[in-house]
Formats: sequence, C-alpha cells, structure tokens
Amino acid sequence: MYDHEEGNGKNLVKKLLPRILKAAFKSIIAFVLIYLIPSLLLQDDFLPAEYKLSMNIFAVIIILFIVIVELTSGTIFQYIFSFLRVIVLIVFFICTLGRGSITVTIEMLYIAVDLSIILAMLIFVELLGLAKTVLGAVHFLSQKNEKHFNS
Amino acid sequence: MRQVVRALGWATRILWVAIIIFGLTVAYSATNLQAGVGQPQPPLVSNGLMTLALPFYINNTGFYSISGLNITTEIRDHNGTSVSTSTTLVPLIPADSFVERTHNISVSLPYMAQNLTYLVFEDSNLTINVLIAMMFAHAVSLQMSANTTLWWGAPLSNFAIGEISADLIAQEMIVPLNFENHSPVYIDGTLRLEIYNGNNQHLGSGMMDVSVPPGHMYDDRLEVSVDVSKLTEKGEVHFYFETSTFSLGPIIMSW
Repeated sequence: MYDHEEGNGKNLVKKLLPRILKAAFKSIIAFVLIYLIPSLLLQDDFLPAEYKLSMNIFAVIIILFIVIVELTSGTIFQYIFSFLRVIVLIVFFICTLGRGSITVTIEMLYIAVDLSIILAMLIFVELLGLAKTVLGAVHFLSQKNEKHFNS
Repeated sequence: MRQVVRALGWATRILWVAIIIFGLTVAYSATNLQAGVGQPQPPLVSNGLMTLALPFYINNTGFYSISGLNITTEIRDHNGTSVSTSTTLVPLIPADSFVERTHNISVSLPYMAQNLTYLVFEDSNLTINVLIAMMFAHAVSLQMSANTTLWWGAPLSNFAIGEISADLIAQEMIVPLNFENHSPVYIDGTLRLEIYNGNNQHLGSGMMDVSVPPGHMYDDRLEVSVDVSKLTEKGEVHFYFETSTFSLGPIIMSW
C-alpha cells in the first residue's frame, strides 16, 4: 500500500515538477520584463504613486496567472484561467488608463498623457489572446472527445 | 486547429513583447528629453504689437521623434478677459536632434487701449496660462499646462490732472498733468486736451509732445488758450493720447 502511495506521490512529483519549473522560469522572465527592467530604466519619480501601484498590480496579475495556467496545463482549467486572465487584464487596463489618458498634477503643473493608442493595442492583443484561448479550449475538448470515442 | 492556436499564441507573445519594448522606450525617451527656457529679450514695440521674445530649446535625445509641438500662452486680466493669445508651432523634432526656437508673446496695444483701457492707467496682475502639447512617436500625446501671474506695469500709471487754474488776463487755463510710465516700453506720443465748461461748451484745446522712458515719471503742465467769457465754476477735460502704435481717448475727467 505504501509502495502504491509512494508510486502515486512519485508520479505526481514527476508530473508536477516540470510544470513548477516551467512556471518558475516563465515567472522570472515575466518579472524581469515587466517589473525589473522598467524599474531600472525609469527614474523613481517618473510615475506618480498611484500608477506605480498599478504597475505592481499588473506584474502580480501576470505572474499569478502564469503560475496558475502552467500548473493547470493539460487540463481544461488551463483554458479557463487563460480566459479569466484576459478578462482581468482588459478590465485592469480600462480601469487604470480610464478613457486612455492619465493625468498628473505636480504643484502648478498639470500633465495629461493620452495613451488611447497604447490602450487600443493592449486590448487588441488581449482579444487575440482570448481568441487563442477559446480555439485552444475547443481543440482540447475535441481531442479529449476523440480519445474517449477511440478508447 | 493546432496550427492556428500556435500561430495566435506566437502572434500574442510577439505583440506583447513589442508593446512592452515600445512602451519602455517611449517612457525612457520622455525621461531623457531636455528642454529649457533662455533669457527673455526686452519687449519690442512694432506695428502696434508689444512682443516679448522667449527663446527655448529642446534636446530630443530619445529614440522617437516629437511631432506637433504647440506652445500656447494666453494672457488674461483679473476678470478673465483675454488680453492676448500667442502660439508657436514646431512641426517635427527628429530623434537625436537639438532645436532652438523663440516663442513670441504679443500684446496688441491698440486692442488693449480700446477694450482694456484700464490697463493703460492701472498696474495689474495678469494671469498667464501656458499650454504645451506634443506627440511622442506619433502615438502618445502629451499635454502640459501651468498658470502663473505676471505683473503688468501701466504706461500711464497714476495718471492724474492736478488743480486746474485760470489766468483771466492771459486767457489761459493751466492744466497740470502727471503719470508714471511703469511699462517696459518707451512712451513717445502727443497729448491733446479739450476743455469744456459746465454747459458742455468748448472752451479751448491744447497739445503737447510727451516722451517718457520706462520707469520714469512725467510731471508737466499744459497751458490752454480758452474763451474766458464762457468759463464756469466746473467743467470737463477730454483727454486724448496718440502714439505711433495706439490712440487713446477721450478720457473724460471733471474739474
């Protein structure tokens, strides 16, 4: 019995270990790309505090979903969480960038940056991701059904 | 299906990386933008326009060009009435280039004399709204605005007519005049007075040339020949001031 449990545990570790490693690797790349490099390149006072917080939230969302999607890869949950990530990101972009512009007031100076083109690009890419997720889920389910019928 | 999903996956990844790189390089370029304002030139008066030249430079050391740079200054008086609006456009500042331009803030003196007459006689604080708009990389537009106040020195500040006296023997009225030129421009023009009695009958008129450098006081008296038979205890002085750039009057004062 112990051998059987040990075997199951080993299998689980065998199955999970590559996923954990992959998730860790992807998370590190995402962390470097979307958090570390911007923090190093941009001066501390470049972004106001509220937008700095948004940048941190963005990094957390991306890394969290990378880990979840990687850990659930090979299951339908991978697609569900990918879909959820797209929705969360679109909502996040719209909430953070408003109608596509951010405004800052520094003492007497009022600054407005119109990022509507960037917002449109981000939403477009996310919609592309959404299409990929839906098609991936359809493909996954059709493959699963095919296997079921064949067996 | 698998190929389509893969292609979409790669397209998404590539676009994401492109957007991140683009966003980062735009932000990096914006932080490396160097701009400054030089020493303002003394105001010049020509064709009725008083112009203050404000030199500025932009050193675009970033990766992207800046297009449609628009600098607008709007001057308003304390009531919010527009005194002048001046705009400078720089269509394109290519990446890695240095641009020097001058922003001319112009005030129309005839317009001011006609519509904002009090500014000729009273010092005031004017509000300057500065709006700077530009576009980075043809994708991100940036607008900056700021308010500041500017002290306005009136050219005929504290303008006053002293006690008018009459010399019945010489058939003259003596009108003492004084004012201070608080403006940065040289006042060179002609003063004309029309004197009326209490029954609104014309008594006489006089003229004199006036030259007052900036920051100087004018204090003189004008002798006007009058018809003493029509003299009354009270009356009015109609004051006209004419320079090569603007005309003012009648400014009516009682005596």
